[in-house]
Amino acid sequence: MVDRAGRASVFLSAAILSGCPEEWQDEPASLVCDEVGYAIASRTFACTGDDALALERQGAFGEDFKCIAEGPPAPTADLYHCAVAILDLSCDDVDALGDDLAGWLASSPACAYVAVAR
Amino acid sequence: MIAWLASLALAQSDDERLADCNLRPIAGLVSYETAAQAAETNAQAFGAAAFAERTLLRGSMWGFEMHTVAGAVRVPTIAECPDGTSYHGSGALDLFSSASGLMVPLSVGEGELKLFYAGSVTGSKVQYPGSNRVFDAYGYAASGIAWTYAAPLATLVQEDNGLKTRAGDFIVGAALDVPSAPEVGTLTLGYVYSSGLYSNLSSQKLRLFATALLTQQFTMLALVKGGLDRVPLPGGSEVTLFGRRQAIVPPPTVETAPDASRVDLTSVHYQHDALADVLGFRVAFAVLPRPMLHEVAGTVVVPNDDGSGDPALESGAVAIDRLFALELGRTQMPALPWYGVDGGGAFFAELAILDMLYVRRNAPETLLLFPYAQGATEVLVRIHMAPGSVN
Repeated sequence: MVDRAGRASVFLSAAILSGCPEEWQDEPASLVCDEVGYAIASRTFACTGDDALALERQGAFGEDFKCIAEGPPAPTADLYHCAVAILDLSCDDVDALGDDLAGWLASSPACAYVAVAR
Repeated sequence: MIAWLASLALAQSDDERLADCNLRPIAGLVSYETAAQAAETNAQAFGAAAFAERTLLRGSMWGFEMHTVAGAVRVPTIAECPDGTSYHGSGALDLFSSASGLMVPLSVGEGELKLFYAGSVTGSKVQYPGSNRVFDAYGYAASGIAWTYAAPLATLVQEDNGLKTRAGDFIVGAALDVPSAPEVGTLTLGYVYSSGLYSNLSSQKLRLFATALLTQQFTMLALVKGGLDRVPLPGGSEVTLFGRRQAIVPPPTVETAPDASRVDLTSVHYQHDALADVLGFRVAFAVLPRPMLHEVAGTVVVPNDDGSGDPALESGAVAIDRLFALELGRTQMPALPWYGVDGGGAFFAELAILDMLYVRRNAPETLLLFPYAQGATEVLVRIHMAPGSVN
């Protein structure tokens, strides 16, 4: 019984470890847009504490804007400046922008190459 | 096995393709800030103070732990190559830790004074093709043993270079227990190198437990938990029933409104163990932030049957209740976009061997600490020695 359990444990350990996340993973260009949505949610939540509003704005970004970062060519670091600039907005800016997502996307010139209104 | 071979082949092709490229993780993104916070959470959850709470303050005379989380966060990265091509992808943030410590009991009147100390090293690194991943994570495993004898030297190990971090820490303190007055509980006072004064008051009377980690140094782990712990039922099985409120704190941002930024994951847990000696199950419902089935799992255990097993396992020096245990289940997390987490369910598995080696994927307890670590693989080595086994 113990021997069988031992063999099974070696097999199961290998099975679980075989799913070890790869060091490098090619990502779809849409990750650039995902990061913009996360940044909008992050700033909304940090400045309002409203979990539901943060999710709502992230969802609205996905519905109302079309991701145009999709290649080729592959996205460059410059495109990520859109998400970086949004994550850098002050709470005064966040309050002023409210639900105006086009205003959020004016935070960086890079946003024009990331998403456009549908 | 096939999956493992396939992943090796894929890793080798990435090694060749990206060999001469400049790999740039993109700082300032939610994923990047999450990775930075993961390193801090790792230091708190697996540092010397938390280690001492799990081991020395629960009666172990000596303990050692080594823990890794492979791929806790994926960090968006651009690879710029000399021939002008570039690749868009992500690197895997690995977290690692190692700790050990010692406790010495002294009789003081009717009570018992337990002097203890422990040292730890915790760290993080984004892994890219060509890095020595095994050495990075497990190289510190051996070093952890040394902290038993020289805990303060752990503080000499410090590195803070973006997402590549190493932090040494130690705790020294004393716990006073008065057996004749169990209602008083155990009072623990100590000093933690990274955060200063440490205090804890606990009572294990009537198998009731209540835990509150609300001190400043544990704000990221703020936890309130209370209920019934392993209450024996007729027939030999045991029931655990508790409620838990775990604060999930987003990564720090440029500016945060006061008291605004925190989500409490409040859940109710029921666990039934030792059914027919070898089976168990657990189920948990989350009440907040959104009602959902948080986790459901079943366990199969091969107990350490005294008298028929390996004599080395019966010495009592190292407490081994289970030879093997396998837990399979499903866990569900709420959407947490400020972590880059879209929410949803994931299957989890945990294999425990000799109560010392644990291999896990998507374990609910790990996802509470690292909600973004869905798909991460975890290895934990935990060895505790009971009183009487250390000379």
